[in-house]
Amino acid sequence: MNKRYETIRHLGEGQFANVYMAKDTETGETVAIKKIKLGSRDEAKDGINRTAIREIKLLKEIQHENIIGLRDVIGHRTSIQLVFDFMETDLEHVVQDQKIILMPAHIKNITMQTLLGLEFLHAHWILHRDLKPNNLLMNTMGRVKLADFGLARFFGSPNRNYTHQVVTRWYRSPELLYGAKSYGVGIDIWSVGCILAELLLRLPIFPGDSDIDQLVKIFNVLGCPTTEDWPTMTSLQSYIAVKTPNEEPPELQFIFSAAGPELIELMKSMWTFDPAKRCTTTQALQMDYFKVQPYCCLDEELPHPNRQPAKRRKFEEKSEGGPGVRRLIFE
Amino acid sequence: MMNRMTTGKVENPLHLSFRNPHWPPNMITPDNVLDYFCIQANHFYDMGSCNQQIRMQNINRPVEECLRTMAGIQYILWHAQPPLYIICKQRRNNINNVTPLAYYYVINGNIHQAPDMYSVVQSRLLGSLEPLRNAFQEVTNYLRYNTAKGYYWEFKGRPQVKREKKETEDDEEEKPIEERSTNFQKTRTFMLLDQLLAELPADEAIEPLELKPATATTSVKEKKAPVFAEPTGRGSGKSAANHE
Repeated sequence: MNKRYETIRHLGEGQFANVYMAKDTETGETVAIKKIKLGSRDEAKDGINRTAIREIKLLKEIQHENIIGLRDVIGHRTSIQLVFDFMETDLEHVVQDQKIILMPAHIKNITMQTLLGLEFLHAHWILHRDLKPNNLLMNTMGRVKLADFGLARFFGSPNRNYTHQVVTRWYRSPELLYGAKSYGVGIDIWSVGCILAELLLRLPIFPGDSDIDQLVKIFNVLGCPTTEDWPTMTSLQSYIAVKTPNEEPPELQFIFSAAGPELIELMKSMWTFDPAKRCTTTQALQMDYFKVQPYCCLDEELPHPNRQPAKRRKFEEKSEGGPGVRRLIFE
Repeated sequence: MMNRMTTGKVENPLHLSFRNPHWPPNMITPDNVLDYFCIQANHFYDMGSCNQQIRMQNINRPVEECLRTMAGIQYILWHAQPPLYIICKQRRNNINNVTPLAYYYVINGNIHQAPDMYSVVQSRLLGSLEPLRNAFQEVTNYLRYNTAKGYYWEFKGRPQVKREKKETEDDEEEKPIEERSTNFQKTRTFMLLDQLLAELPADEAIEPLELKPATATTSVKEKKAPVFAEPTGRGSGKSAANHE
């Protein structure tokens, strides 16, 4: 490692990188260092893999308090190391910790921070494309930051096609599931809706085990979209008419029983089937939910899971019934 | 008068009762009485309460333990003495500080709100003043004044008037009773109260002593009629009969 940073311990291993906790000897702050795996010789020939490139390219340009800060990039012979702000935990741990009860004010705060970060990204023409509780990091100050920009990219070029195989399936929007080749901010908004639901229920709301099952799970909750709701639906590449077993979906109010009407309204607009009608981050932040009591709590008041890092996560990965469920699919 | 009463009945929680249609009342135990209470159809239950937060978030921990760390509106089991349960609605300000807001009696599956002191005193006062006022009104009809004699009474056709009056009063009393409680409630509540009284003599414990007048007021409340003095009289008569 670099002289400036002293490794403290190994935090975890991802698909493309190892993450270490380290100390910045110049400032005395704790940082996280992501060491990109180089992989096989064949991969190395093409240079480093594209997730790292994406991450560096985008994060170097943006600076926002709700987006993970890329402090430094160290190129050392063959390895690449990215130095990030150190974040103690992520929302996945918060959601799974049964000791924590998320109060409405907590949920509002987390949603607000997420939307503020996302609004900044979208305003700079960047799609995150992989929002999920695991990628929303939180530090002891209660600051929530969007992280893992391995799938993020600029959007807005009209004649360019994008892959629809993005976003972890449970948080994937219907247009992606139908194979849309051009899409916009709506896919991130849909994911935020799913994350919000997961904060409320403490369980994933649409845990599909295949793309079709994913659609069925969505339609079971929200009902089937009609061509009136979503006129361009039938022209999508892999459109299929899905028949849901139960005709009358339950009201959202019934599923989110303790949620107020303003929150239900926000979720409905985040889960509008037609991406053109779905709300944007700015619209979402203007909605009544953020204007009524209980107001957001202070960042410091957000609950923290009892930290049992690294070990716990590894255990969960093993127990989750095969790695296929939450793994990303790349183009 | 009657009209005002009915609109008041919709708004005033003291005039309402609730029964969970999905549960047989004999299945209620101290462990599940909160589950019986905490359903959306129950108008005494606040869907934004901490209890509902815990339910929505699928937390598998004892409810009391969760509630202790939460701030806000909560429902807890205050006292259990099957078939009577008392549920307390409280606002928790922090771990050690709680403000009670209301108490609910669950007796044999029927949920009532315990009346506050003010309403009890007010209704009792009204109950005694209303007949008094009627009596004065009645009596002024027979009052005569004459410069020679001064004030004097003139009771002409008195028995007839009185009897008619009594009959109409009876009608007024009977109707609301029919409306506000079923035959089952009337007979069963008294039976339960008698049973409770027999099981727990008043001088034995302090807690039941507190409960007794409260439960009595709920039963009175059920039967509260425009003329208020009547149910109390009946209740005391009944208990007196039982003591013999």
